[in-house]
Amino acid sequence: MDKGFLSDGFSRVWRHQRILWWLFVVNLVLGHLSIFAMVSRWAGVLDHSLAADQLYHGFNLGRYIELGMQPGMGFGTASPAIAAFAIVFFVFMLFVTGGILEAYRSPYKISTADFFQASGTWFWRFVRLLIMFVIVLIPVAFAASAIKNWSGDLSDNAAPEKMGFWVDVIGAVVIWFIAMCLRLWFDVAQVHAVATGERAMRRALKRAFSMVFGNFGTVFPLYLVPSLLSLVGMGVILLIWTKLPTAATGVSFVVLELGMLLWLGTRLWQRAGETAWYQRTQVPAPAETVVPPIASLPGEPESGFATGA
Amino acid sequence: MKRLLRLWLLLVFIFICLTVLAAQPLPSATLSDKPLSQRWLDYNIDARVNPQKHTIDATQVLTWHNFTGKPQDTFPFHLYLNAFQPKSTFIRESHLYNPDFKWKQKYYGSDEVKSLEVLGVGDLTSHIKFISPDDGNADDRTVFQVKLPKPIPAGGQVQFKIVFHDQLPEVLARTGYKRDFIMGAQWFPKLGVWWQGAWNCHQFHRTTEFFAEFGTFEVKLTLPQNEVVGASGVEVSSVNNPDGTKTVSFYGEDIHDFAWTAEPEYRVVTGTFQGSMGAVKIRMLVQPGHMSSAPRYMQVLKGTLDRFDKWYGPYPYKQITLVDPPHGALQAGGMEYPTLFTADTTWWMPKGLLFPELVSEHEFGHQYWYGMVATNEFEDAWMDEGINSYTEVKIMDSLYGRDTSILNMLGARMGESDYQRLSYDSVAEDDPMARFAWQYMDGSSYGGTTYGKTATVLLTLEKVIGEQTVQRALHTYFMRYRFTHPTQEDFLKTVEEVSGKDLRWYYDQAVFGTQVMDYEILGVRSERADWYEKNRPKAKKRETLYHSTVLVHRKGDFIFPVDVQVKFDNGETATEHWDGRDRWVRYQYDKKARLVSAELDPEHQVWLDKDFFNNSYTRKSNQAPHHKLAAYWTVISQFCAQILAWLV
Repeated sequence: MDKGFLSDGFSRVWRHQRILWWLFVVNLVLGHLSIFAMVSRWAGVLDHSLAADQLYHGFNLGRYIELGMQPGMGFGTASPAIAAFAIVFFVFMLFVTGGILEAYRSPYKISTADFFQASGTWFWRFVRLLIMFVIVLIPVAFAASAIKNWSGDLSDNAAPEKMGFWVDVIGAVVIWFIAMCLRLWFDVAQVHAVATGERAMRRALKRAFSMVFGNFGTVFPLYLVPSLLSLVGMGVILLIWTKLPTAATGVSFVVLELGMLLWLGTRLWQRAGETAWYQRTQVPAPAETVVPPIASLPGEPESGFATGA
Repeated sequence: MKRLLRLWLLLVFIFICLTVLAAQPLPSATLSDKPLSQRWLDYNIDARVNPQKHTIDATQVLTWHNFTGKPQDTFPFHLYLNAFQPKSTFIRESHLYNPDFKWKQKYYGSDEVKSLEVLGVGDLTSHIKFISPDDGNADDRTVFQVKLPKPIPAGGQVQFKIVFHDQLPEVLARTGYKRDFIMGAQWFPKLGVWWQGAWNCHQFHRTTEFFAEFGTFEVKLTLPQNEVVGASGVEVSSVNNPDGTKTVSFYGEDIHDFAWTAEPEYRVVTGTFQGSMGAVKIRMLVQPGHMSSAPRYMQVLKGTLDRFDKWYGPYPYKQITLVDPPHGALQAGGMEYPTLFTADTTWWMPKGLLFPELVSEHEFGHQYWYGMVATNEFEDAWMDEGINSYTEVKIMDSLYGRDTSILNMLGARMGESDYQRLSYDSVAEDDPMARFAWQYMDGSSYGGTTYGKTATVLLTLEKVIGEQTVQRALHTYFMRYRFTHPTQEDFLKTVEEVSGKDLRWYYDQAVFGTQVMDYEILGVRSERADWYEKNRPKAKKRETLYHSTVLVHRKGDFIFPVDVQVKFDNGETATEHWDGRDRWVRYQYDKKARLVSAELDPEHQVWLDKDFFNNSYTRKSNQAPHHKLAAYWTVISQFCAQILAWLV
């Protein structure tokens, strides 16, 4: 693996960190909005109750369940809102992906207008790509379900007690690996499409397939390493969180938000790394950038080569 | 000649020795030199187990002593294993309570009586008649009765010789096999109980347990030599047979059921508890993969034996056997039998989750509330499960801490009292405690009411008569009714007697009613007494007079006296006592201090109150708890959104 792609990708994320911060803020705001109604109802129960202290100093699970058992307070009542806002974030991410890829492939800092112009340009094409991705994922989902059923059956019926567990673990790793490969394939298809102005998504997929699986040893780590780092980082963050005083809400929140930031950042790092790899190893057909460069930051490193104008 | 004489004498000596040995009475299975119960029955069972086919072929000689005071000619028997058939009441109700339940042929079980002979009378196999006294289900074959041509006189006895064949089900509920594990429970024809002047022998239902008479059990199990066996009572002998099998003999006395288990993989862990009646042997049959739970089992079992011995009464048997079922056979776990119970754990059980401890404590507790105080589990389920759940709370809290006796990990905690109360909360209005077990609205109501509500009712009773008095009442109840079949009135009257209080007002609502208790502080106000003045002087602490009010409301229909504690900002506290009969009460104070908070049940003893959050009201709002929850739920929501966005 060429470590340069990863560091190049990282530097692109860093250079365009405004994207990360915006995505984080949108994620945070939507997350907060999604639970706003439920928390308002909770406030009516908790704010004047001495029993609420058992949720603040320490965490009395019994009291928490009791809260959820109250009419209209059930945790399930928040699910529709959480799902709705998750879909909003999902659509938002779908929309801005074109802009993000345009920004990462550009040696220049692109303007907000250009960012959204690129986002709009690629939106419907990426919707088509998303539909294809979902279709490809369906058999994987079936396989995951089958493995889950199998491992459940083994957990009950196999003589070695841990066999079901290990089948579950190995199955999860295999499914995770397949999902990563597929995601990588579609990521590169997106990068390729943006780089070449490809309008036919099936063609982009076909091209990306040969690119990814023809250079698997080089390109897969670009996805794997950030994934592993995000998992390890999240583990460390959760470990720190468990050590914090239970009443330290502010600090706990900041620590957990760091996890959310890390999760988002590593996902962007994957995209930036893939873009760097694409630009430095693949020779794309000349294409016009959707966004003409408007300015080049003085002293800004120009990693990779710029296409277009 | 001398040599011949010597040889002759030696042979005579050996013969005498053998005769004496053969005539030796069976070793006692209890720590008492006298019978502890009125032994109505003597079961003598010789069973051959086929672990490959999951079958048992046995001959049972049952001697019944007529202590009923009148002649008896009709005898009802349970055949519990016949519940595991698709048209049985048990399976019908399983499907009724859980529509997702699917019948599988591997669940099939049966207990087939090949022949029934009454010694001295003759073969009465053709007289066997299946009955379904509870629901009239003609396809249910869990109870049969046989009528003798001639009644057995009062004081007389009768001997039934029953040859039966069992097909064990794959474990669906309590009994059966899983791979090479066998739980032999409810496996033999069991006579009903002469109780309250009549035979009591109900069909087996999804939500019922058992009821049987005290007696002795001599049981011989013949099974492969590689099997590790455990059973009720004590092991008397184990003899290897030439055909690769062994015959293990067990003896139990002053017990009303006999269960056994066999599996080649069991690891045997033993210990001793020194009780007030003597040493009790602890024998644990643990799965190899669960050995990490063995010390936890041992610790909780010793702790539980100790608390029961000190608080409620002695454990009089020589042995207690803990059975740890294998994975996939959890349905056999968490079940009680006399001097034997099944626990539950997994290989990954975290230390902070006290599930193995909870199950072990609970099932051991049944040695008292079911085993010795042998209540009718069909009709008065709350008396065994509920009283046992209450003592479970007391003992688990005592061993592991009141707020951490179920869960104590990752900053989260939960106590037993909350666990029981929450299970009651979800079904609070459905059923009274006093209801036949198969007549509850559904399985949830049965569980929430018999376990959770009873425990919560008894915890709340501590508020009325005191914790120590409840403990003394249970001790008295145990000592008075052990080895008998008390009714619910026996228990309720004992509590009244020990406490010296008329508790009918409480029983009517808590035991026989479905009233729900929910008291709330509807609101508090604290404003200056000179509120009407336009130009009031600036408020000064400890000088300005405030008029404070607290409005207390009874939301539910359960009437219960409550205390209200009102706190003021000068450190003063006022405690009010309200009988709770009216719908609301308002307390008013004129003090040179502002009200800080009002709280119902400040000592947190009224566990029956359905909503703890509205039991208090602070004048000032404290948003920290809801901010904390909001923070965590925001992160959860963000995480969900990011996971979904991965698809992009």
